[in-house]
Amino acid sequence: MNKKKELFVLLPAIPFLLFIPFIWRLSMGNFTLPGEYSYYYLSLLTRFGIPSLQYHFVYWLLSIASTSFLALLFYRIVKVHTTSALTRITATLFFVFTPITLYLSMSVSPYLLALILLFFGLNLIESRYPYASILPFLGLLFFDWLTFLSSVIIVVGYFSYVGKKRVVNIIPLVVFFAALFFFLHFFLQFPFVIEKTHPASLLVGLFSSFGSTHGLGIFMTLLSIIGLALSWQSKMKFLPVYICTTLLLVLFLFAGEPALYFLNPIIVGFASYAYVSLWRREWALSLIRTLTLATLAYGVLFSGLASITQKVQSDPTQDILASVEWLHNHPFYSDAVVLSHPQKGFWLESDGVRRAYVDYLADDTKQDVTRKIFESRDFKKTSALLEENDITLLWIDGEMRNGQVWNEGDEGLLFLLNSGVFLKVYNKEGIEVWKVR
Amino acid sequence: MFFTTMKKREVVIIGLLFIAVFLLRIYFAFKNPHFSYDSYFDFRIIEHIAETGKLLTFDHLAYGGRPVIVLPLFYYLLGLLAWLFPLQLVLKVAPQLFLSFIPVIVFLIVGKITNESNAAFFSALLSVFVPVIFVDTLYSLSPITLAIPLLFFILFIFLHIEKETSVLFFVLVITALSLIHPSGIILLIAFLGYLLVSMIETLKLEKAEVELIFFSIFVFLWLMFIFYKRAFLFHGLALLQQNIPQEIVSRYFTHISFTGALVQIGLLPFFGGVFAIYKYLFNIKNKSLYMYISLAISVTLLLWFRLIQPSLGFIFLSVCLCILSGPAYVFLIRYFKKTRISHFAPFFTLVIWLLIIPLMVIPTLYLAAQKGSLSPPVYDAMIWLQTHTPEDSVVLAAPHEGHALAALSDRKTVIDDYFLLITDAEERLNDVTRAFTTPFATEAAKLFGKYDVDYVLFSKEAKAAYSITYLAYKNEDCMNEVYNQNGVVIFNTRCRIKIT
Repeated sequence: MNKKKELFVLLPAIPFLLFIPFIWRLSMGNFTLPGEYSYYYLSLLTRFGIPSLQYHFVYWLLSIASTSFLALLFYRIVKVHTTSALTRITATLFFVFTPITLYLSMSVSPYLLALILLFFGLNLIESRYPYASILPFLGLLFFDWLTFLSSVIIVVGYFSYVGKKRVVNIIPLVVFFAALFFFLHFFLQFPFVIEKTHPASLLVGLFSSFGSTHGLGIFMTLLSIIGLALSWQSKMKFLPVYICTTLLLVLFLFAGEPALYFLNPIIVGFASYAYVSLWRREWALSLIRTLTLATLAYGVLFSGLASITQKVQSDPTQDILASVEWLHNHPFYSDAVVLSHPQKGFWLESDGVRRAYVDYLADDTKQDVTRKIFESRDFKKTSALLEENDITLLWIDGEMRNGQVWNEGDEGLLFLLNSGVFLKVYNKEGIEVWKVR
Repeated sequence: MFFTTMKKREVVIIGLLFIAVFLLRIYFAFKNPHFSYDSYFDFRIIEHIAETGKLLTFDHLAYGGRPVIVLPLFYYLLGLLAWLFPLQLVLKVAPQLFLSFIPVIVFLIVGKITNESNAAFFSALLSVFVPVIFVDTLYSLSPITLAIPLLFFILFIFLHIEKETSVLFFVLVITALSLIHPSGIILLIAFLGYLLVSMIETLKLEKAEVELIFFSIFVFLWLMFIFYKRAFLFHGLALLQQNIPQEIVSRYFTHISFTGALVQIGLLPFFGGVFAIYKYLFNIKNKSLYMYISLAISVTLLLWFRLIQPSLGFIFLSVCLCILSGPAYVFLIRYFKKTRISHFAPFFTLVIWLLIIPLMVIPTLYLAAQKGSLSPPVYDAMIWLQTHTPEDSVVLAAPHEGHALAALSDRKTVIDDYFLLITDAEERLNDVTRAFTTPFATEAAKLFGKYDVDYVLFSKEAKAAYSITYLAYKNEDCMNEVYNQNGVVIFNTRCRIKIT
């Protein structure tokens, strides 16, 4: 297959795959972006006058376009290193259908931009103007330290893998970039956060099949282990890739899930290598070949579909954002401090007003106060805590009532809400806002 | 196709053995009209399929309502049979029929490995009278009754991969096993162990073998992720222990001792199997035996690390050891013939065969005669609950009685021993234990209030489980004895304290 035909396959296939969750969520009547962190970043955009409570489908479409571009940049990198069209197409489609890429296409995330800059830089290294790659790499300095460190690992690893430069030669450049990074972040306070979904364990955080939103697909990982084993024959050539993988895994262990965004392309690389090798390998049993390859493809597809299902059905709903809009437009409550579950924090602040008492970034003290208020059935204690922390409103939805915070109708704070000492000021579609009388 | 190499005499013998085993099992199975306590979980699923044609995915009775995740094939198979035959007959006969295939499969495997029909018949006979297989599955309705023969049938097919048709059989059976019981993971571990042992012993593996092993791994994992996706999301890796509270896990294993294991497996398979493992792992290279050796080692390790229920582990281990006893038998007979007293060889052979009677047959039949299922007094009490209590009543009983209670009395239960997707399993278990053992009526009333308990079923089994002879607070006004027959008492709880 020539390269034009490849693009003829990939150019419609990539956006088509990325549009599946969009259409699905839209068909459910939900026009909001799924997840929580997108709303944190959208709230930052309000500083530039960009509306954050409306036009979510526009942001989503922009994310789909950006992710499609990212996938094409990934394809171009793969193209440089393999002559096989099958490998290129497999790798690109695998990349698009990983839970991580799908997540990026459904959210507003700086990590998507960081990955685009990184891949663009790597593309330029292979172009006629390799020094132009410095520009996108300079852009990476404006992101968080995890992005910077992961990018350094990948860029150094890439240089070593392609043999363009010896690692020692690029160390001064890395040191210069690191100095620039610290200088920039010392003077400019970038409000980036390192996304964490607080998984129950490391393995749960690592794999999307175990519940992580940022996790790797279990079949993709399984395939990548096979790919790694197959690549062992040329272990010296792949040594920089092995080191990169190990370092990114260490980063994931100690820093958090976003390191997986940067590990994902390497995992996809090994996985597609394994898949194509299994495809081309001479099999003794042709039936088993067909079935094995089909099972593996279904496995990859299943991880992607499971991840899509999980995200498409996740909150927020239109009603949640409507309650935020109500708060935003209210003459008295627009900047009142609101207490809710930490998961709701970014949604409550999506209009750019810092009103949530707790969110995923809240410290332990705030989390502890929240827990005490939710558990308490003592009005004096509860009102003292609310007053001490300037909390005016309580925001409660069905999910909180059904297991997220309480299991029974009169448990903890719900008992106080039923007793009449609080006033319900908003009640629509299971979302309630309460105020102390 | 697998029987083409068998002589007519062998086919007749193994056919007769199958019929004899089936009749023996059926005889014991019908001695008691009820099933084991945990089988009532499977009973309800099969009954639901027979009635509605659909799998039970949400149980409105257990824990006051909880989702159910099971692999469907076994239940659909029995549900389908229940459309053709009476349900009770299907439930009694089908599991015994499936289990009766074990000796046949053992015969075929050992026959293929040793080319000695005597050894094959010896192993098959041992597998009939393994106490843990014969006794523990007598009143069972678990999918494991089909999973065990299927798993070993897969290993048998694996010995014939040179045949074109066996590949198709392998694919079908491995897929079926993956849709019947998660114990297929034992097979995967054994496959990986086989690859490892073969590598260590520097034996050349057939390309087809490796392909089949990897296919099995992928297909099993894929199906597990499809069916248990929700449980994976809910429990993460804790799913491997099925969310069983630590207290119950420890209870399973506290009763296990070396002597206990010997009794469960039987002396002859144990010593025969261990001897074969030693001989063929360290002295003689035999690739076809490594699969069974690695399976035996894998199951032992799983038992050691408490990752498998002891009875299930012992069942797999004992079948493996029975298979390995075949080559051990051949080795011993040949060895004896080489000694100076070789003229006693027929006598020696006879002694080995006769040993089966005191060491296997008698203990197994004795244990089978003693084996109990759901006791008639408990059955009567549960039926009484169905006819004499309001439909929305909640009944508190010991965890192991939960499934039977839901199935027979059709009333809501507080707990049973299926803990998947239960968020507060440990808490409930502790609460139920306290409800039976607390000396304080107020504490009991609080617990009754917490779980809306209307009735308490107090049986002999509950007395034994909690080491008590009576409920300490039974004389308080709050407890009204409404049923007392044959050692089973039912109380109506008149007081409940709701913490507000």
